[in-house]
Amino acid sequence: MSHKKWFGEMFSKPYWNMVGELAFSNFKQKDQGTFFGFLWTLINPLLYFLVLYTIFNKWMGSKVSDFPLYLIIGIVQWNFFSSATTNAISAILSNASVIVSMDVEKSALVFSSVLSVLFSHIVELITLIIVFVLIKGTISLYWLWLIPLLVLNIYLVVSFSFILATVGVYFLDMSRIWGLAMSIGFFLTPIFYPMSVISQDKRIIILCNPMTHIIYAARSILIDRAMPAFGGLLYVVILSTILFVFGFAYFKKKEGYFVEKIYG
Amino acid sequence: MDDIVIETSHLSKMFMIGTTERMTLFSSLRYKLSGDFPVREFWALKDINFSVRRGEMVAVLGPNGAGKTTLLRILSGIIASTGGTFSVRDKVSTIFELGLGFNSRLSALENLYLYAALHGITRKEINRKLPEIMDFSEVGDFMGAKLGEFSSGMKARLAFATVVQTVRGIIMIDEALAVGDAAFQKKCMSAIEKLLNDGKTVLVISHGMGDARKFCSKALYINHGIQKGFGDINEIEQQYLNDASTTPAF
Repeated sequence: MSHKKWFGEMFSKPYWNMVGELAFSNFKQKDQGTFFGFLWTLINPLLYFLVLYTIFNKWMGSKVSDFPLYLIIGIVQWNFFSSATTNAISAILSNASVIVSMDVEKSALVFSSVLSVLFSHIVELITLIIVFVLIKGTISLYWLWLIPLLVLNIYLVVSFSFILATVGVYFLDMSRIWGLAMSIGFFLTPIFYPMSVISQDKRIIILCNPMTHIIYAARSILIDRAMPAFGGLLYVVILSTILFVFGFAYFKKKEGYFVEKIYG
Repeated sequence: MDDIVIETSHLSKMFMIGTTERMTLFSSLRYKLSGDFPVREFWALKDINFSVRRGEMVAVLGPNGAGKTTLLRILSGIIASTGGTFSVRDKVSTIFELGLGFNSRLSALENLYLYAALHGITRKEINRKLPEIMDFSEVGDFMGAKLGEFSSGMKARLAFATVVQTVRGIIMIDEALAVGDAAFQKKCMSAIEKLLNDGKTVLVISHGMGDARKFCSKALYINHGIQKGFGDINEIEQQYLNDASTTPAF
């Protein structure tokens, strides 16, 4: 195996040009490159919102102020994490024809899988902000905090993605397993309920979930127009870093065998 | 012997038959715990020693399953080797099977941009080469059509045209020359001749030697993963043909 200076390569322009083109083609294929195809990706969070709002408004509405906004933020943030990590499982597999015909820096495939989901997440975030402006009638400088929060969310997703992309190559049933994890994760994340409804001794489970902190930070920024709680976010930074270091090393160790594994 | 761009020393590749298959997490855990992994070693290549100089065209000869494609895949960095060493001192472009990893759901042009990006070529650069690629491949009006709608001949022509126009150093071809009609093959030959004159290096797999033979200076002959010979094209080809005629036909 030719030893590539991948670290240097990762900061080069051709590398990110490659990531961009891959993400764009991935995105085009998924939504057939059409406007209505793209709308489909926005319908998913909207449907979740309608169902959860209809069912829980009476119950949670009394416990949470601005419940509809509270809910939609939770859904949008969770949706990005869930779809991007699920997409990462097939990051290598869906590009099998590429990796079998040329020597590409395979980490670019992982970044591109995250980026292709990020497109629709950003559209969702912008829509969300427009909705906030329309409802609240004002804008806030605190909303700029959404940018570093988005960066952190991407970091978390990327950290998971390197691990998932690798195990996705090795195990046939990874997308089913992760699908199950995401279904459970949805209920273990305070998306449609506040922490106050969870009994004191069980809160630790919810607090271990990094998405809890991301969602709470987004709510502080958008609804309360305040600085997010940094303690929780620091935990997300540390967790992401541990996952990234481990996940990236694991990916690098295994990437030389991806082609054999897929075409074996 | 200066200006060597490809060099191998005792290059070997072993596949673990049985482990390369993808399995479910559960069955993999079961095998891990029980310890009786159903594996068998298979040496696809053993002790390959050869070198290629810049501007040379070298043919890799051998029957089906000899390890020719495996060798090219190792040299182009697609799969890892198991033993020995090798060095490739220039950028490699490959034409393996058909299509270069082209995606049938994207248009020819979109595929071209993607291909370029994967090879570190910008859109601006590829746009400049576009007329030549279109002219060479004779794909013309179909650049905007989905690649899935292309005939296999058209796909092969587009692939060959793309590689020929974008190759930077070494080009590795896996029997892709067999496709395309007589006129296109002729065009490919003159393109290869031009590449060689430009100082590009060509490594080509071939069962039988067609027109490409006349540009090859040397050949590597492998059979069952073992190197049978490397040297002057005429001698090696004779050896290969002799072996083929003494092997009973099935």
